[in-house]
Amino acid sequence: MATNLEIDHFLAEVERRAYKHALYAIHDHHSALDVVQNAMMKLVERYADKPVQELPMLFQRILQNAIHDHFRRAKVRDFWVRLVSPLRDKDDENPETLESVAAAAEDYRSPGPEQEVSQRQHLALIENALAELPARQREAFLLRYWEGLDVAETAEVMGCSQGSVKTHSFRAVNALAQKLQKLGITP
Amino acid sequence: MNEQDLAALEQSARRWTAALNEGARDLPADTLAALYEQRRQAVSRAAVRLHARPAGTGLLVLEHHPGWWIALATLLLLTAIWWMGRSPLPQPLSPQELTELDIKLLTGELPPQVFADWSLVTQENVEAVCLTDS
Repeated sequence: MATNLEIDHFLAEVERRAYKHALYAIHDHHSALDVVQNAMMKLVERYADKPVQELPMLFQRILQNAIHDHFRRAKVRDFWVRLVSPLRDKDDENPETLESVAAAAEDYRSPGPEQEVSQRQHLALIENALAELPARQREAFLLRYWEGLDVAETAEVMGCSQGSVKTHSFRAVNALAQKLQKLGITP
Repeated sequence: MNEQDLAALEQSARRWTAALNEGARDLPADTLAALYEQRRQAVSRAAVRLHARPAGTGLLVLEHHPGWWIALATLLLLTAIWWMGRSPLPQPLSPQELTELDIKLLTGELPPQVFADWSLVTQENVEAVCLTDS
């Protein structure tokens, strides 16, 4: 059973990546924080008695489910909003995709030395390209390469076969390479 | 795509995730504060749950299947309430009610079936009396 200290260390280690993971999927800062909070609470409420070695996989699974739940709720909410207000202004209906992650990221930071700005722009382009990927490809990429899970673990988290994980990962990396090459970033 | 291209793509993926790691380290202060607060709440919740759970008791089962136990407890409670509603417990008489009862006993205004109520007999602290001479 994981101790309180172990849970604290584990959450401290994953919280930032979890937030970014949610942000790439949801494109909204506050919703991403809510998703991360829900995931943390579910982890400690249901799996605090598990060994600490099992927590990374469990947390990733919970985080993915929390992100999917967010989209399900948003879909239901949008359905009822459209049903109730058919004369709503059309401009309100189309949320921006991701001029957001890059732009929001830039808003938070003050200008720094030229090299820092260049690195931030580089990061913003990568984040932008990542956010534009289809959801499953992005999930597979982040779990395989960022979280460092192997194919079997990624398949378990995503709830799909190992073959699907390999396909999604390959397509994600390929798509990122093409997008970034067009932006002048050599893979 | 050959093995070399695949290896190159893998290497690129590692470089991109290294950049993502840098981005994750460089979060704004308000975001870090919010994440810290969320972590603190989660750890507090975990501490409460870990301390509240005694080892080796049925509470562990309760926590893993709370819905089932709550439903059973609710059903038993409702059954008990229904059963008590069918056979209510005798209520003690107030002093005023006892006085009125005495008056009615003396004046013979009580119906006969009242004397079959054993709770009334015990309330009056009267032993059962044989009405026929043996």
